[in-house]
Order: sequence, then C-alpha cells, then structure tokens
Amino acid sequence: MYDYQTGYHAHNKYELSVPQAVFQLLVLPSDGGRQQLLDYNLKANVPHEWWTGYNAFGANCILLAPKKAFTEIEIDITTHVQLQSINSFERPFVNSEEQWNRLTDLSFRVEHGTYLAQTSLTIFQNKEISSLPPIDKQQPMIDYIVSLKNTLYDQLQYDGGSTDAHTPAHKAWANRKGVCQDFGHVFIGWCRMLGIPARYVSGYLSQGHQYRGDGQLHAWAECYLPEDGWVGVDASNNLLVDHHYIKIAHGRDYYDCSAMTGVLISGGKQVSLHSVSVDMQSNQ
Amino acid sequence: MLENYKCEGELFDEMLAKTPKAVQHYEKFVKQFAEYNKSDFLRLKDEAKIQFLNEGITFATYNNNAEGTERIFPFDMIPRIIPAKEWDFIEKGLIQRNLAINAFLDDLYHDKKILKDGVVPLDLIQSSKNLLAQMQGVNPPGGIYNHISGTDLIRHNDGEYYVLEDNVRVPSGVSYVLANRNSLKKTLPKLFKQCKVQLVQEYPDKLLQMLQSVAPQGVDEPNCVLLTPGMYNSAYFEHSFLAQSMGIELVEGRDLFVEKNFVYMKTIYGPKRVDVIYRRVDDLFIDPLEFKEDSALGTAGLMHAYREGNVALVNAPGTGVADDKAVYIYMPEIIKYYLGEEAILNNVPTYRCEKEDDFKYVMENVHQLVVKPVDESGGYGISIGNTLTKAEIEEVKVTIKANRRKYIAQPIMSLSVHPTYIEDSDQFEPRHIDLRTFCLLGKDFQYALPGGLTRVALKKGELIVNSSQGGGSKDTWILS
Amino acid sequence: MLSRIANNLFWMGRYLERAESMTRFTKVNYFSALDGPIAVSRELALSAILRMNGMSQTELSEEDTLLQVTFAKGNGNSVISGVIAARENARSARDVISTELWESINKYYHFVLEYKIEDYQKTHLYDFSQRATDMAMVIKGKIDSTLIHDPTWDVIKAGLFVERAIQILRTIEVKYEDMKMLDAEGPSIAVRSHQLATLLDTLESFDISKKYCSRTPDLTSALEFLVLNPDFPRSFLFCLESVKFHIGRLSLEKHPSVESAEYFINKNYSKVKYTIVQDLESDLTTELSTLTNLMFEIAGKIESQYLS
Repeated sequence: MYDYQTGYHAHNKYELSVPQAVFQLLVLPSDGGRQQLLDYNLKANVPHEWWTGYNAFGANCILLAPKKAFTEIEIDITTHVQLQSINSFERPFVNSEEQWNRLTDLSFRVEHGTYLAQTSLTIFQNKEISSLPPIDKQQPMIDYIVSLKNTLYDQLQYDGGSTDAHTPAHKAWANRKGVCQDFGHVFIGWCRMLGIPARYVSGYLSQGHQYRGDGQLHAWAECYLPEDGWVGVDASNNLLVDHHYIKIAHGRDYYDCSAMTGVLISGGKQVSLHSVSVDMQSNQ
Repeated sequence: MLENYKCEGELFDEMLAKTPKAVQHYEKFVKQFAEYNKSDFLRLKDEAKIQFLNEGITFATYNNNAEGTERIFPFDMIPRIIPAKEWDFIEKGLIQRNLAINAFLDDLYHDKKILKDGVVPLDLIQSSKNLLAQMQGVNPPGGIYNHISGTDLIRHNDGEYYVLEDNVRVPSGVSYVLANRNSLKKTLPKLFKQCKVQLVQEYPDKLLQMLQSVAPQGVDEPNCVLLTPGMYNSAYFEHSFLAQSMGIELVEGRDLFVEKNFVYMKTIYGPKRVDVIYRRVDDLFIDPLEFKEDSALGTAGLMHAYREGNVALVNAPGTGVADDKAVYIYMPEIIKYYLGEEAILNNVPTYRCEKEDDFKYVMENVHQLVVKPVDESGGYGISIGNTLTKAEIEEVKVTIKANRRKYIAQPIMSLSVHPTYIEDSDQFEPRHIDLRTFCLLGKDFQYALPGGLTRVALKKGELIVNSSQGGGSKDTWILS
Repeated sequence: MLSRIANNLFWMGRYLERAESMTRFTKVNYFSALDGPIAVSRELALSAILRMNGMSQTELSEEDTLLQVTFAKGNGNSVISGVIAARENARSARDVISTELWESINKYYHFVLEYKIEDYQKTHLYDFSQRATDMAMVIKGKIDSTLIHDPTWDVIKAGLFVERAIQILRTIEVKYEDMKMLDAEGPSIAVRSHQLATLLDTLESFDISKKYCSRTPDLTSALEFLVLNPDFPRSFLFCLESVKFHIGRLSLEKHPSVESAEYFINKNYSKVKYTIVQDLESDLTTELSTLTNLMFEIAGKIESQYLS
C-alpha cells in the first residue's frame, strides 16, 4: 500500500470582472481498482457552490460556481489517495496468437470502438505504420507494446517549448519533439492504427524521482490487450505504469481530460497558473 | 374552378391519380369547391395571407442587423386529402419506424448488439459525427431518445408511400400545420364541415403530455420548459407558439443554471427547478462544458444533471446518429432486428458511396441519381442528376470522391403532384409535394399527428420542397 | 416570470418613455425658440436639445442636430434607437404581452422607421412629433387596458415610471442650465418666464400648472409642481410613488427586508415626500443630481432583485 497526498492549485486572473462562471475540475484521483480515494478537500478564495458529477468517461469531476463577481480566483484541491502496487509477474498465461487475433474480432472492435477511433489529436496517415516495429504474433502483445514504447522514447525528444495543448500527434512526431501529452497522443495514434484500443490518461506522478512531468499534471496512455486488460504506458519516461502513477481520468485524447474548464461571461483576457504537488505520506 | 385542372405526363396526381376524374376522397371537396368562383377564391386567399402576417406566423431571415426580414411561409389553399384507411397504414408505419429508431439508439449507447451482430456496419456508426461519447451508458428518463420525430414521406408514381428521410434531432414545422388549419377553417368553414377532417389542434396537449411522461423519477408535477436559441432563430415563431400553446415557459440558455446537478431557471422570485427541457437547440450548443466551450446558447453543467437523471432532454442528445442518411439504408433491417417485424413503410433504394460497388454505380450514373450529403437538413447540398450539366456532373463526382462517407445516392423519385394555385399563371397547376409527419414517443405514450405538413415546391418541376429552398405548404386533411 | 423577460419588459417601459420624452423635448424647444424673446436664440435651443440627448458638442447644424437626436441609429439616445430597443424587448416577450400591445408597439416602430428623415428635418418636425407622441400614448393606453394587472404589468410600469422620473429631472436640469446662461447675459423677466413656460410645456404641464397655481408659475412654484406635486402624473414625486406602488405589488414580502428594493424605495420615498421646495432651491443643481442618482440606485436595486 502506498499513501499519497495530492495537491492541485489553480490561480486565474481576469482583465475584467467576471460576473458569472462555472468551472469544471478534473483533478480528483479516480476511485476504484488499484486506487482508493480516501478523502479530499476544496478551498477557493471566492464565495461559491460546488458539487461533483461524472463526466462522459466516468471520471469524478468537481463543478464550482462562484456566487459573486470576481477578477481573481484561486482554487486548491487536496486529496488523500491509496494505491496498491502492480505485480507484473501475476500475468495469466496467454496464447499470443489468440491474443493478436482477438483484435480483429467484430464484437471486440465494437466493445472498444470509442478507443479505436482516431481523433484530430491522434490521427496518423496509414503509411506511418511502416515506421513501427514489425508484429510477431508468436510474441505476447505486452512485449510488442514495450518495444513500441521504446521506439517512441528513443526517437521523440522531450522538449517543453515545441508543442502546445492542441498539437496533433503527427506534427509532434514529424518534428520528433514533444512533451508528455504528445508522447501520449503519438502512442495512442500508433496503437489505434494497429487496431489496439488505446486511451489518454491524465494523473499525478509522484515526485522525488527525476521523472518528466513534475509540478504539472502528467499524461500517459493506456492500451487494451485482450486477456490482459488495460495496461498503462508512459513513453515519456519509458516506463510501464506502476504505483507512482495516480490516475485521474481517461478519454479519447487530451480534450476529454483537461484539468480545468471554465465557462464564463466576461470580455477580458485571462492569465492562469496551475501547479500540482504529490507528497508521499508513508511507505507500506 | 378545378374542373379544368390537368396533369400530364408520368406524374402521380393526388387528386386525379391518372384518371381525368377526381379520385373518390377528393370528390366532395371538388364539388363543394365549385361553389366558389375565382374572385371569391382570390379574396379568401388574400384574407388568409393578411391573417398570417398579423398573427406573425413568419419565419425570419437575418443578416447582420437586428431588424431582419420576416417572411410568411407561402400557404396554398387547396388542401391535400388522405383517406382514413391510407392514414391508418401510414400511422402504424411511422410509430413502428420510430420505435425501432428508439431501440436502435438505446442499443448504440449501451450494448451495441446490432453492431456486434454485424447488422449495421461498425465503421458507419463510428464515423458519424453525431455519435456522442457523452451519451455512452446514459439512461434517459423514460427510456426515450427520439421523443419527437419528423419522418418525411413521399409518394412515388407507383402510388406507394416511401420514407424519404428520418429527422430525429430537432424537427420543426408543426406550428405551420396548426396555423394552416386555423386559417383554412376560418376561410373555408363550409368545406370543412362537409369533409369531416380529423383534428390536429390537440397536438400541443399531446406534446405536453409526452413531456410530462418523461419527467425524472419522483417528480409528480414536472416543470417543463422550451429552450430556444433566441428570437433571431428562424424558427422562433414556432418556439414561442408551442410554448404559449402548452402554457410552458420559453427559456434561453442564459435563463437556466445548474447547481448541485439540478437545473433551475431564473425567475423574478428566485430560482425555480426545471425537470423537462424541450430543447430546440442543437446538441453541440446545449452545454459549453461538454461541447462547444464558446457557446453562449447553452447551460454549463446541464449534461452532468442529465447523466444524474435529474432532468429530461427532449430529444435526447446524440440522436443524430440515427437520422444519418447512410444509416437510413439499414432501417428495414433495424426494424426487423428490434421489433421482429417487416417494415411497414418503404425505403427508397439507396447507394452508399462509401461502399465499393455502390460507389462504382453512382460514379457511372450521377446523371440519373439524386446525390445527398448524409448529415445535412433543410434540403442543402442536394444534386439532382437530370438537372445537371456535364460539367456539374463532374463536379459532383469530385465532391463525392473527396468524402465518400458523406454522400449517398438514390434514384430520382418522382414525387407525387397536387393541384396548387400559381400566382403567375393565375391557374391551378400540378406541383410536387411531400409530407413531413410528426410522431411523439413518451413513457408508455405514442402519438402521430393526423396529417402533418404537406410541403409543396412552388417552382414548376422542382423536387426540393423545403421552406429554406422556397417551398410552400398546404393543409393536410385526414378524413375520418 | 423569467427574470430575463422581466428585464426586457422593464427596459421596454424605459425605452418607450425615453423616446417619448426626447421627441417632446425636441419639438417644444425647437418651436419655442421661434417665437421667444430675442435673447433666446435658435442656437441655444439646439444646444439644449443636444444636451438633453447627452451630447456635448454644440457645433452641429440644425439639420444634423435633428438627425442626431431623432433618427441616428448610431446614437443610443436617439428617438429611433429607443423605439427599436423598445420593440426588440417587446418582441422577446411577445408570448407574455397582449397582441394589442404588441401591435401598437410594432406600428409605432414601423412609423418611426419609415418616416422620411428629410421631411422631418425640413418641414414636418411638428407632424412627426405629434403623431409619434400620440402613438406612444396609445401604447400606454394598451399597457393599462389590455394587460392583466399582474407582475408583467407591474414590471413595465415600474420601468416606465423610473425612466419618467429620470427624464423629468434631466429636463429641469437642462432648462435650468439655459436659464442660468441667459441670466448671465443680463436677467430679464420676459426671458425667464419664456424659459419656464418651455420647461413646463416640455413636461406637458403648462396649462395644468397655471390652473393649479392660479397664475403663471415662477421658478419656485414650477419646481414645486414638477418635483413635489403628489397628484400630477408628470411630477417626480408622483413617478416615485408609482414605482413604489408597482414594486410593492411585485414584492411577496409582508415586511420588506432591509436589503430589498421595496425597503429602499419606501424609505427614500418618505424622504422625498417630506422635502420642501426651499430645500431644492437652495442648491438646485446638486439636489437634482442627488435625486437622479437615487433613481439610478432604485433601478439597480430592482434589477438585482428581480431582473437578473
């Protein structure tokens, strides 16, 4: 068991007073599976109402509506979450060929249709498939996923200034530069091209290690392997997901997992600052 | 006045039906109508027109100024008449079809059995831009998706009715049915009495009954509202007309807000809870948090309230995946799959340009096909092969090739014609018509408005009847 | 009733009153300059018309002045802007107002929009103003006689009286400025009484005030009549009392809370009611602006409690 305290801090300033707004925050660790959300706490510097709801992909989100006009809003959300370790040796025996063949099964494709369809952020031209490692159906899929991850890690340079939130995967790939979001999108785009269901994941990465993605929300990918289920892959750190990864939400791409969305009536410009902290409370 | 009316060629005339004498169900009308002379008729016609203008039964077209121009929807005084037996058949077919669409939508947003069984191709659904991930696994109150369906019917020259398209997003036009009837009743009262026509005036009551039937669980006296994009919308007259005749509030997105997953409207005495929203706003504009962030029309947090089951949206979001014109092709199979019945209403044979064989056929036969985009409404983007020049045909081919998923093609159906008064020639002439029907589904509730909006293309030979394309309308009489 | 609809109706009332007031001010001041004492120049009348309209530049020609204050769509305070705004507000609330009311507003709108501007500028100023004012009166008649006297009616009336109160103060302010300017050129009884007559005429109270005061009023009696008379519909106090009446009907509170619009209006109404004309006269300009600000505050209170 691993205990974490996470913190999310948002600070938005507006040129003009905002009379009315609703914010959606997708920052609570998901509750269930290997993660357990024990407690959370919200603070904001303006009088407000807040409530929670589930988004389209089942993630627990917070909605917050200020009750008064404001020009500056600060929101702090702290949580206490418990993670179980992942034992990668507990994998059931699978027949690799059967596993690969399941991908073409119609009901499998229907079941995972949402995460098989490319989006504007993940789409690649089909000819890109030739630059991927060749598939050997005698090999378990997980091994192939690892080699895919390695390829990506080796070829895409981590570079904070080269892309923005709306950069599509094929552009980041063409320049061979990007941040964790782009690693995620490229990986997802590749998987989908191969008929492997894949989704975008946002979350916290515990600090202390010199991982990429400190101080900000992190992003990685999950792909669905028949028999194995969803497997988390962080190509930007060249790792499979373990107990250092606290998941918030998943979706088709970044747009489904954006940490803070605001709908406001205001004419002015906005300046926002977001920061994230993860403290480990105690080790097992 | 109708004695000299003629219809030549291969056309199916609703009144003459290929014989020079009026078909039985028109006989009474024609006889009565003979009592009016031309000048009576013209006077009555003008009176009706003024009445429409005074009552503000208009649709508006706006440019950039706030004043806009309000036009009346041209109304033809000669009613289209359908005998009771024929209507019974149509009514059954409509309800069957829309029940199947409801089951189809429920399946698409839950287990997707029809896709797993390969009855409808996965790619077709997956590539529809109207399939909403936001609706996945959502259970709409009352289990209804397409509460209001506007199925368009045509009659071919074989005398059979065909479904031309399904409209299950926000079909409009019903206010004109009621207005046409009101107007005709006032101008031709005698004829009405003679012909024994089924009532349409109960539609607002039925609509309200349906809205109330899908209220969230535990709400006994639901507060239903009609959500309009605002008075600059071209169908604003209909929105305000329906709200008024149901006695419910006409709201805009900014009148609503969400708190703790319940929807409220802002009134002079504070917030009032809203339970059912008949929304006349497109999917993408209902909740800026989930769809278009910059939409000023929507209400932030509405989809959360909807997923929690605290508010009903009519129609449900994401229904557009079912009225895709490429999905239309599979409608007979869809009906069979869910209801175990053969489709009552015919489908027009349709080619999916995405399919290799169909594509090849379409490319070679554009000149004798109607090519339509799969996800447009209002008659936009349609090309009718036999009216095109060679160059235009080539253009159509290029357009199709660029996005094959977006286009389907159908043989050119010869829409039936109906005597219609034409101002330019000062005569009754045959003009093509179709029929927009209105079907309501609620919790344990089904209703089809007897008749519907007969739309008429006022230009000679024109096959597109939509008001946005210069069409007019007629009252539709279902005899009892 | 939806707050937005209430807001639109409130503003419909305000715009109707505003357009009417501007129409009358322009007419009366334009014509009074024609037969006034020599000192009362046409330039002064045009400047008063512009100032009443909230415009400071006084360099405009007569034709441009008339165009600006009456037919310029770009000028938010012009008659035409007021009429368009009133009609748009009515249109958004068509399902809650009577057809008769809607049609009378629509007719007014079409009349103003289709009037030939050139005719107005050159020869028909009187004809336009008279007909427009008559139509505005018809609309008010329809408001009272074809609507159910429910919150819809109260909100429209409250808007109407709030605006009228403001327009009365504004008219007095502008005319008082004129008087002071003319006084500076050498006081004259004839000029003063001509200006007072114009002021009273602008507020449709020349004849009636004479009857009430049993003589041609001086500044004191004119002020007393226009600001503090409790029974004359174009006095400030009467308007304030009407606002109090309509908001009182709208309110559901038996004992209005201190934060409520009703409380605020009642409290200030009492203050104004027991004001005497000498209090006003001592520093008229300041007093007028205090009262104007009071009306703005009242409108703000009504807006935040009921209309948003």
